[in-house]
Amino acid sequence: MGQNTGPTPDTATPQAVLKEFGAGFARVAASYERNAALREELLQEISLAVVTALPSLKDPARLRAFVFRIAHNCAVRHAVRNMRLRRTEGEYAAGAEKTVPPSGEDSDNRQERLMEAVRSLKLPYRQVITLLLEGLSYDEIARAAGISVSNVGVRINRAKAELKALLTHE
Amino acid sequence: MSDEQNDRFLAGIGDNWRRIGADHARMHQQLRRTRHLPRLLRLADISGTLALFGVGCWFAWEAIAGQSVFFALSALVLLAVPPALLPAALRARKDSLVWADETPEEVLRMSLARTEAALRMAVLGQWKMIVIQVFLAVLWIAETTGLMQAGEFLNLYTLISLVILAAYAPWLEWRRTALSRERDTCLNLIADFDAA
Repeated sequence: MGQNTGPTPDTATPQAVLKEFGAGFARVAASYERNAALREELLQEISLAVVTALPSLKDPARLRAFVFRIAHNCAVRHAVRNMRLRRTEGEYAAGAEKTVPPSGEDSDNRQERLMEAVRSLKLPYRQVITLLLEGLSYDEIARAAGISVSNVGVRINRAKAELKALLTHE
Repeated sequence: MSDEQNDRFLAGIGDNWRRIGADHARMHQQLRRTRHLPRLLRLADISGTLALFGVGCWFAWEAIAGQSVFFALSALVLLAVPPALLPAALRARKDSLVWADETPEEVLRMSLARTEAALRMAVLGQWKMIVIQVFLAVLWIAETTGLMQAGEFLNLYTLISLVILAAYAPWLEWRRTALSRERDTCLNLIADFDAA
């Protein structure tokens, strides 16, 4: 974890960046947006924002923290902006409904349960756990989220405890 | 949870997490289609302003040539307002793509500030409606007192203004409600960050 093996700004064509981080961006988008059409829209926003911002990256070693910070920033903005169109705050607001689909054996169901559980976490915990699951080190998570490394540890522990409670709850 | 339990739990959900994939070739294709959108939007902002400025110049010319108060007032609005709003529009578009420097929490605080500013603008929107109504009243007073003779054109202008007002008032109310909801969301999410 934490080793940056992806493209550097010198070699980071949009195609290379999307190949390396596209799936991660899709997971970040899914962790914020349940609606498939809006998720697709968010994914495009993230891709565009990352590709546009790439020339401003100064330290290639920080590429992963850089792109995931942009992805989360886009997602936060998307969550707030789309609230205008929604009647309730259920999906994003504090203490969002903690309903996870019932457990099942097939892989799709397990992924859906996991994503729903991640979505129901409060934003500060959702961000650190998704970054951790993407393989970022505590240092990179701290840079991406703009918090101290010790705070990363605290948030990750709380996020893990909440996730475990949600996923083991029948 | 012990460290070992933690690691097992994380490894388990990590496997499921990474199975959620994406079609990066399709993403790249979509990106190629949308990549130039910001530049096109910027160009549209500038072109729109230039077009309105051009119409303003034409109105000013008509006002001078025909000694028309109606054209003079319209020219004043068109020459002053669109160029004044252009820098703000360009800056907003530019800022909307710069996400590398802020942290997610800062994005929320920025969103809150923008939402509150937009709410204040919505209040100004009510004043704009009043200005349009006063402007129409002034034109009609000028017409009926013989200060100007715009005739049929004034009727058309009045009709268009009334249609705009009829559409603008409910839209403004909808926007105020939506912005209030957005502000509440920002406040809730910021409270989550403060508590974390």
